[in-house]
Amino acid sequence: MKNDKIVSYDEKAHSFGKLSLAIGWGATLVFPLILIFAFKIPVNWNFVLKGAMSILILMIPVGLSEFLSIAPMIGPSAMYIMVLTGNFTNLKIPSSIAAMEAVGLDPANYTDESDVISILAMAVSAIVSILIIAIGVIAIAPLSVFLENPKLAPAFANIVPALFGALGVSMIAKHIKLAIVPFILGIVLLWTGFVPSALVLPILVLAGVGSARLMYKKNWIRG
Amino acid sequence: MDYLEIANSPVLYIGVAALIAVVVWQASVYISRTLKRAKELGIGSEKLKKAAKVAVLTSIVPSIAIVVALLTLIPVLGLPVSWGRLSIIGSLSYELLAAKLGAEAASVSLGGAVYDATAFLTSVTTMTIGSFVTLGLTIFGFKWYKNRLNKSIGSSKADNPWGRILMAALIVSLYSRFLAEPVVEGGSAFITMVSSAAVMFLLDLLVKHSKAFKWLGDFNLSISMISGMAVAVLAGI
Repeated sequence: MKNDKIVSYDEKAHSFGKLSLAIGWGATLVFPLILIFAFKIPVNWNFVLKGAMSILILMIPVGLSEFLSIAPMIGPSAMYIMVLTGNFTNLKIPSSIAAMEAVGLDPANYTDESDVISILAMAVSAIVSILIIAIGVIAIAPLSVFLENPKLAPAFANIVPALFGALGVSMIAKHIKLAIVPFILGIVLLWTGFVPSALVLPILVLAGVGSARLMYKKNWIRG
Repeated sequence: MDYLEIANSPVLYIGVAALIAVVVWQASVYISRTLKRAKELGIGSEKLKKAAKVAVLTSIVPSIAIVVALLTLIPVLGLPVSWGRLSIIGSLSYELLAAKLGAEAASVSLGGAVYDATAFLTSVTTMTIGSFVTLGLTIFGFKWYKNRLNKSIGSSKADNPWGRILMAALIVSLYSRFLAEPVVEGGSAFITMVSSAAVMFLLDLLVKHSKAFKWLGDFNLSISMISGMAVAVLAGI
């Protein structure tokens, strides 16, 4: 009975998620359609095809590796929210993890309760982000004077290091053994540039999971 | 008509409204369903309010960064398209890259002297088509992929230690990617990361060992981030 309820809840999350993503992508078509039909800009199909090929050649491997790496970590609803609104690593995932930790949950031990908190955090984050961007747009003239001050540039250029520095402390401290291989390998790969930057994440995920499995089999870590 | 006149035309705000409406609709539906689920699971409203509060606080600084990104895109793509696309799916690096590839497909440089309305349209179609990759993968492949993963991890993590370790390994690997980068880059990125980590460590200690500072727990992440970013500014002076 309980399992049926969970299955039904997940099923609904998937159905609605797919619908919202399809409608979301449909909404992105509004821009090109307005340009074509309202402004009657001539469409050069040759250019459109060339542009499409260039972006797809790049995005298919990048999108696939991001998808395969991130999808295992979060529940159905959270994934659909993340994919629709983007900003995975700098906004959605940190909000989700911070919210879980704030209510005493371990982000690495994903439960039904974690799922609820994660979805709530990501959905709230999506709305807050929309609001702040809207406020930013309205205040764009005075804001741009302040935000474009070159002295502040290092602050905004380093948001991701600031974020992961803060989040990394407790996560790595709790799971030092699991972190050794992916962290060192990450440094080596990025420093040597052996592989394209977009492939580093999936390689680290494979290495991290592989080393975790080895340590588990040898009883060096316990779940 | 100069392409920027078109790009900044009020008509394009219809597109912005459509995109914002979808995001707000999706988020609202998921919030409503999740609150219902929380009731079924017996999760108290205090916990939910706390989670929402922390999510709000954590979102402020990264959202301001998106506004800064917007300032970079507006001179090239106009306000409506920049605003709409950064609110949904995309990121600054993706939108700029896709716009640039669109311009190159039209044999011109992005925002250059001969970048005209057709080139602008090509940039916009490129940005739109490219963003379907992750959407498409999720629409057509996520449910299947998730079910396969759940079967191999096992649905009950309480008696599945490997399942717990796997989840931890995945998250730690993700973190490692973004912690390794500043170490390799050095300079302000590294200083920022270390400062932010140090402040977070101290705040965690304060919150754990002092009742008077327990309230700080909700602001840990934001304070640490802003401290790290402030150090970056000071180091640059």
